[in-house]
Amino acid sequence: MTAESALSVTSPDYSVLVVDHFHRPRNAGEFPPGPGIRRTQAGNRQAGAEVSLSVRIAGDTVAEVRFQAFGCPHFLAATSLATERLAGMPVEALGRWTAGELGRELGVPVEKRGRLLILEDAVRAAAQ
Amino acid sequence: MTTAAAPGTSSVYLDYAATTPVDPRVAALMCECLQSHDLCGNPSSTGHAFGRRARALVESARRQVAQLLNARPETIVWTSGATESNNLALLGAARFNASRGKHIVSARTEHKAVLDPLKRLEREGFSVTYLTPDRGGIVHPEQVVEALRPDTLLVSLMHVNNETGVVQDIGAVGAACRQRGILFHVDAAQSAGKVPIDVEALGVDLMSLTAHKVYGPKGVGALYLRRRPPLGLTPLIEGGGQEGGLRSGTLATHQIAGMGLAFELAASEGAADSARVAALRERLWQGIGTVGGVRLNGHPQQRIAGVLNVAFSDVEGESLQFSLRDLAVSAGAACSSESEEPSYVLRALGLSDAEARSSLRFSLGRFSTEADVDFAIGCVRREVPRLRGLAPGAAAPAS
Repeated sequence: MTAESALSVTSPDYSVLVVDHFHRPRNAGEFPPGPGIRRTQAGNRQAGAEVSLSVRIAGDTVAEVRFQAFGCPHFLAATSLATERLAGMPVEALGRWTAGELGRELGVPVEKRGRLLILEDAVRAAAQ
Repeated sequence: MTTAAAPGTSSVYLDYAATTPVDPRVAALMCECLQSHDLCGNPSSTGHAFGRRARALVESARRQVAQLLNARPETIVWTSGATESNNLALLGAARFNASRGKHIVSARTEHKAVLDPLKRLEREGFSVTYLTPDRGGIVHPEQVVEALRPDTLLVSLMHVNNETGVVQDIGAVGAACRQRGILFHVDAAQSAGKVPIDVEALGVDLMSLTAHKVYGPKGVGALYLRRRPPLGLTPLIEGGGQEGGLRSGTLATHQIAGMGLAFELAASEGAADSARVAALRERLWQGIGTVGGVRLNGHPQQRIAGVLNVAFSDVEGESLQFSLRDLAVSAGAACSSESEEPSYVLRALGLSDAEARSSLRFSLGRFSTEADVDFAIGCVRREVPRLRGLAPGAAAPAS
């Protein structure tokens, strides 16, 4: 390896998709309370990951989702990406939602997959 | 913990406590040593002029390093760096002098290069008392005195902490040790060139030094070893008998010459560097402080100029580091960056795991500029409020 090539090493820790959602989170914030708005919460800061979802329901369908989150870049990116994927989904499907596919797509390392269960809990709670 | 910077992406270097850039004057001398045919000799081959010229450079460097400590040149033993110096001092002194006692006093906030050799000595039958500093990171001399026992052989205390920059009262500890005939080792990797050192006045018997924190090259260091009365050490490396048999191995002329010049420059320019760097650090602290929810880790006054260790509240540590990756700063010690555990030094100061994880060490030095500091302030002002604004409970109404 030449000095030049050694200097071109970049961080392998985060995928391009994680970096994108970390810097440009989609749907951050919350809806004001009102008809058709469901709020859920999961995790806590002491454990290093906390999420709050604000879901707007239109009929039987998820119209829009907003989020607030505290956590590592993978967790923030997963939450941001999830808000995009959940829009348009039947409300009853939220109760069966899993974060596995999202985690693979983002390249969340195995040791961090447990944090995605917190996101799952928040999404599933919105089904009720 | 990981360093905040991804290699190749950082644009501003604020990690001088991890290692300093090599001063161009040092680099020029080292290149000359490597390129000059006249200096190609082995410093131990004093039977010919090539070896004698190399030897002269080595001995000149020995004087330069000794001068910064107010020591005699013969007290300086060349090593590969402070880690080796710490190992040689602790393992060497304890094993050689074990008949005098098998108790050692040190502190929980020491560098791993001290703690790990101490653990080895514990496995060899020594017992070690690890003192806990106060919340400011200070190990009080009275704590050391209280921990001493009739069988205490050695006290080892770092001069300046690598994570917080806190300065210990080495002189008071040295006086207490000398009064009782107890050996005193000081890891001075972070203090040499930044804090005045007089090994005689401080009562130090063994002092570990390294070049790469003083604008010299990586891979070379030294151990100061008190010679009067003589202090016995069991060497770690056997071989050609260089350095009076204490550290065998061919002397690396260019590395040693580089360290010598780096220490000479520290003697002549260190005070001016510190004054300038202190002003930059204050500018950085004031600028970072405007985001609110920040706390200085370590004693506010009893510390060196270049280090600012800051805890950011309501920000997750890994996201904080990643968001500031345009800055080359450290979370925890660079030397333990393979570990995901929060800094044991900050934990010893009473910080929670979360507080320790949300702490960053900014460290400045000779080549830091106001523009570097202002860039860092800009990054912090942009990213910390952004991350806090994403968190549950933040006032971020949906559009």
